[in-house]
Amino acid sequence: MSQTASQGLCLSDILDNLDCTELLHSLDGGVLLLDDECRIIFCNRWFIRHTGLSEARIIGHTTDSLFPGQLPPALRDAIESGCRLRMGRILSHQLHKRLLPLWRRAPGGEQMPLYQSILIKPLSQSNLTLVQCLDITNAVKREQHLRASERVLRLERKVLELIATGDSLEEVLLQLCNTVETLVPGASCAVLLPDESGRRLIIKSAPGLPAHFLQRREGLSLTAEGTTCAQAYLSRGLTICKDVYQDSHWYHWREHAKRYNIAACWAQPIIAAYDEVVGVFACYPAIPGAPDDSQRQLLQRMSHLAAIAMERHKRTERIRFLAMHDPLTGLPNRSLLNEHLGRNLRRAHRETNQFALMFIDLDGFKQINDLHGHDAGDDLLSVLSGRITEQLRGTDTCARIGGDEFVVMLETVSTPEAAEQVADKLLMCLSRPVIRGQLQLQVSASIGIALYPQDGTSADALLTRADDAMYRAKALGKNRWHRIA
Amino acid sequence: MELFSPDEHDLIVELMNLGVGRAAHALSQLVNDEVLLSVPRLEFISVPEAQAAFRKDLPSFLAGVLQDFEGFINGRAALLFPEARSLELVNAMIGEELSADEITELEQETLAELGNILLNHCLATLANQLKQQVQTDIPKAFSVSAADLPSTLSLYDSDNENTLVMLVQIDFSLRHSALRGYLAFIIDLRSADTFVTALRSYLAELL
Repeated sequence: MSQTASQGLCLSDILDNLDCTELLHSLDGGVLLLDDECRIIFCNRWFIRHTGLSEARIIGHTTDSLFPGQLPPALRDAIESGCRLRMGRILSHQLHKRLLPLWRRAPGGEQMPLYQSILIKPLSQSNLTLVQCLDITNAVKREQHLRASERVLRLERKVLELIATGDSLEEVLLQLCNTVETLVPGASCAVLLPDESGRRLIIKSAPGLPAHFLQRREGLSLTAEGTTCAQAYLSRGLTICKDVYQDSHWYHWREHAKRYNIAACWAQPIIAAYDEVVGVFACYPAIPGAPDDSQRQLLQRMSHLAAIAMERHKRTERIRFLAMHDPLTGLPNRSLLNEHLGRNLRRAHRETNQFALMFIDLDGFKQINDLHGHDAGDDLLSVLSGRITEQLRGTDTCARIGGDEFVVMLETVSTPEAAEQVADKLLMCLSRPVIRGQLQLQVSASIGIALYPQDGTSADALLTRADDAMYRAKALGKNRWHRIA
Repeated sequence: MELFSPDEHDLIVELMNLGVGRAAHALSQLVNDEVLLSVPRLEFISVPEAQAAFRKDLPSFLAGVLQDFEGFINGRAALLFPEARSLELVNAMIGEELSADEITELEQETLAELGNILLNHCLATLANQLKQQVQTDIPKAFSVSAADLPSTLSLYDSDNENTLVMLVQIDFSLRHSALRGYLAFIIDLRSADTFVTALRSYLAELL
């Protein structure tokens, strides 16, 4: 007898003597046999284990009476048409998120719903119908993982496109928050940036949180006693608060946490070039816990994208600043002056304000340059531009529009005299000597004043008028202001 | 093959349209969105003719769902799609807009259920209207090259003599997807007599 034949014999022997019931009981999946009235005449151990019901409780009942009101109509119909009409059916997990109310134990011991798909097979040689329940939890997890990574890639690409097309920083940060909120269901997200003082974190973007949350003016104090975000900023690493109600740092924020359904906080610092921490990406899940590996990765990727977007934003701002400012003094240049002037004209017209324009030209600046060199001249200009700015309000503008020519715009003036008083103060401060090493450099200024609306109602008219007035001041002996009456 | 008279042929087309319409209704409810199905063409052909039709109309890789049936007619029913688009259909069904590269086991199941609903409704409608019984087995999703399709579909190994193919073109439209597929009913000719008799008595009752 050949080996294969003997194996064949053995196999058929085994099959002949096989206890079918035992076989069904040992299957890793649920098996039910139903009669043509949908009554359960057999259920295997797997099924008993995952329902938590006794065998005696199950046999003789229909699935519908075992789980009254709990079965989705599609499953009830499928069982009915399987048993009565002999139609084979599959019920897939993707189309039926809820099928039989079965449970499984998670590794941590807690009860979790069992993801399943169901096969209903009318048996040919009898009037019985086989119902098979497959535990597809692992497949569902794999699929969720696959879909999640694909979604991250998609969203990342979208964010990169936003960055590349130069969309506003707000837009990019919003998209980043939305991305994490989609992938961590129930969580809200925020991007926090330090304020100018560097002592507080201010919420910059938080699409999932109500508007007044954004408007909290106080910000988060950046000290070791600060909340999770402040700690992340200071420690430069992912900081996790698993449960805000157990964390003393959150003591003062518990009311907020409760109102906005925040149970935990995962804060990932945003680290830009040269290892500079520029902000914090915060995720506030609605259930307590720590992020898993994929969530950690997600936070890292999002904060990395935020860093790219913020650096790009900073560069763009810098380029814009350079295009609008004089590199020597840091004062606005002619372009920015024109912008401010245009805006102020519209506003003065709308609100019937008066405002003043002053054309300032230094007296004796050329000689300083000729005698002491351009470096000395440059230093003098820097110091004097600082002195001019000191005399002005934050809303006024001082622009450098030529070698030693400045234009000052007083945003509003109540009377012509008010403008004249400012001009007096400017004459004083500009004629004070500037000490440079052993040298004492001194100039004076001639100022031409033009008032809106008396002396002109357009930018050109006002500038020309102020320029003319300045020449008059020069002609009248310098170190004085003049206004053409 | 002149197995059916023009009247009988028309009746089958009508019954298929009815079945497909019921399937569309069931699918619409399942996915909470309108699913439109229509049958632009139905023909009875031999297995070699069916092979030629597949070669001509279908791309080289196909995805589909198979389901055996027995009762007043015996055979095997199949839903066939261009493989590349079956995933699109599954995604449209489950309302996802993602495009994973290949179909996963969960999507295989979803595709199987889609075919299952469609084939069951067609067969059940045919049987019910003709006052006959039919029983279906559980569906199986498969992917196959067009060259291997005939062996997947055939009832008996290379016995094409005793089989007849009812080939039904079917147009799907749901959400933003629209695609054409085929329903193929490979009927055991030895059971075709019951089919013809049932059709005739139905038509006789109409007169």
